[in-house]
Amino acid sequence: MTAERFSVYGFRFSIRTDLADARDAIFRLYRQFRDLSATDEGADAALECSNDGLQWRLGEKTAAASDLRSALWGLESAICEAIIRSQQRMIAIHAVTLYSGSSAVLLVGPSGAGKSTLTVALGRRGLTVATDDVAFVDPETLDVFPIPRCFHLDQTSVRLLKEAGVEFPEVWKRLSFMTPNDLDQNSMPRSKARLLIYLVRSRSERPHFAAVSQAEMTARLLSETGQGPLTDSETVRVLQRVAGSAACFTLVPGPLALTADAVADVIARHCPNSIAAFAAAG
Amino acid sequence: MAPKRDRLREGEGPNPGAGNDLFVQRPQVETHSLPDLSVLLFDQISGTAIPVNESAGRIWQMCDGTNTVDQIVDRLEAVYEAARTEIHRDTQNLLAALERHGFVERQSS
Repeated sequence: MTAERFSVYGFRFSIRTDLADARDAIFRLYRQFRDLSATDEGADAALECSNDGLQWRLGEKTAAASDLRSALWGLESAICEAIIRSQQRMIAIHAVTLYSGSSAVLLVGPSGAGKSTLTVALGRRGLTVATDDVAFVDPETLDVFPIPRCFHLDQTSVRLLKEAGVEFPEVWKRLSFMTPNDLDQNSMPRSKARLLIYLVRSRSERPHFAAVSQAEMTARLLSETGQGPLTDSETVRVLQRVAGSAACFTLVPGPLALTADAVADVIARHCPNSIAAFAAAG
Repeated sequence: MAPKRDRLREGEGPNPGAGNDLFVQRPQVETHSLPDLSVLLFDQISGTAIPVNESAGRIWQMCDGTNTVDQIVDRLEAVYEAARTEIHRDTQNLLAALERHGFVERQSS
């Protein structure tokens, strides 16, 4: 059983598993982060069969799972937490990261607001999806560094996406484990966020955008930022610069397809070098 | 993710003060001015952030213990095309909210 090694923004880990589907899923998730160095440093992770089903482990942390999807979700969640905890410099914002051409777009909002569902729909409209959950921001350059996650879609999200015409890749049908790399992806350039969209929980008959002040967006970013390596004041100053260099909107979502079209249109208008006409591609 | 921070917003229920009351910024509150002229006020101790617009930012800047409420309203009246009663009401509402969140301290003169 060989180990795959990865290094995600300084967090090194290796994963051992004799399950081909698990190995394939992990590789697709962290494809851009393969560690080809000769070092053996880092955390050891494993996913293997046990008497009761499946068991995953990351360092000292371990848990049992009844099926492969649950085991993969548990392990990748633990890895994401470890990546965030290990960070000594950058701050982590709970946000979707999309790329349009050379521009990064952050989609912020509370859990349950529909970010993941909207993100998959946007990925089918030509935007590059880097993560649907959390990204680091460099406090000096303000560049965005998305942390890869698998999409956590419940049955309602899947139904809405299918009704909106989104076709799921074969791997989702088989394993319910889909990564950003399973969508049609373009490059992910190092970039600041040029557009910030705060997705609210309420719903409307039609999607509605409203410009918000950069101070308001800074406060909203702060509410989606956990404790990190910086002091609170330092964090606010970074978030102030992030919001201060971006166009800021709130979005009350409507029906999924209409909302995805509207978001794609706003991105096309605010981000230079956007992929032409992607708004109509869905 | 680590636990999220609390973020309080301005509430209702002004506690109007007299026109000659003075308000002083609490020292732990940071002022962050944004390029679009909005302002974020951040209390380092409580972690509370309050975003305000440009005019509210002006009021905040005048909370230095030397400007009475009436003087603040006078200065705003010279800048904004709005009825004095409206400016007075908005000023009192903002100051009451800032006081309630502990961002300013009232000093009766």
